[in-house]
Amino acid sequence: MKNIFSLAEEWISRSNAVEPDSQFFCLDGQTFQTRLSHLEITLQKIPELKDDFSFISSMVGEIGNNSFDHNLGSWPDIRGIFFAYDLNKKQIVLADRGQGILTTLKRVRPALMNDSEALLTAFTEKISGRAPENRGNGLKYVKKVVIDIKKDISLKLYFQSGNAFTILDNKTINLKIEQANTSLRGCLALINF
Amino acid sequence: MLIELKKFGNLLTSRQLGKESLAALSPQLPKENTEKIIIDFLDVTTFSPSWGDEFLSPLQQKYQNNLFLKNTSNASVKATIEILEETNQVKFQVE
Repeated sequence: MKNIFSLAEEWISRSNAVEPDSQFFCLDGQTFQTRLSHLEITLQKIPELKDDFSFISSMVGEIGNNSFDHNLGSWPDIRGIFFAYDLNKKQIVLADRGQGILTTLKRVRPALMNDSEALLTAFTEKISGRAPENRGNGLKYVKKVVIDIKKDISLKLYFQSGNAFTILDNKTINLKIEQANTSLRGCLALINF
Repeated sequence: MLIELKKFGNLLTSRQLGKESLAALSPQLPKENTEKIIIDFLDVTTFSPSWGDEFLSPLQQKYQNNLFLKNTSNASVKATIEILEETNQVKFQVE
């Protein structure tokens, strides 16, 4: 199998919008839920994940559902997300060609100046891109699971939106936002476990 | 009243499904805050803040000290309860 992260990066970076390979494509939340359920059942069967599989499935659920929730009715071109996993490499990839974190959060926090500020806000502050609805726990939950919670497995997350990215693992003390060489539309996430 | 979450599914992650689940349950819920409400997480395999915020947070607001959670040992259940407590500034009672 070709590297799933490269496939997602290639898809999210394309200037001409096309749907990804159907095996990696979730057009809507229902399709994503079905495929997430399949992943969860598969993870449960891995002995070393016996107590911790739900950390992974819940993180994937939050990241994938965020894409649908925050782009509902506002997808710039392709509606739906890229969702793939390679259990041999212990990798899970999610990507969307949506509006990205900055555009989403600027609606409720107009002072946000760039992708880096927006990403930091999304991971650290209680803020919702769909205010006044009470939302905005998703990425903070992901951060908590990767960094703070004691568990038997090590998790690592790469998350990029626009030209800002962060890498989190259990050694992360202060979340650091870095500048990517290329700007991506939407969001791109890689989970290693 | 006992609410068995497994009747809504084992993988409870989507905000939309959390909202729909609460809407489906609403007609059965007591109108007044006079009886004990127990939410049972038995056989829930994956739980996340999106589903939890749509389902648990309104119940916590309405039933407050009469709301109890049980069988919360699943890792994602525990982590989700913690983050809902932190962000909503509430404390869930666990049996």
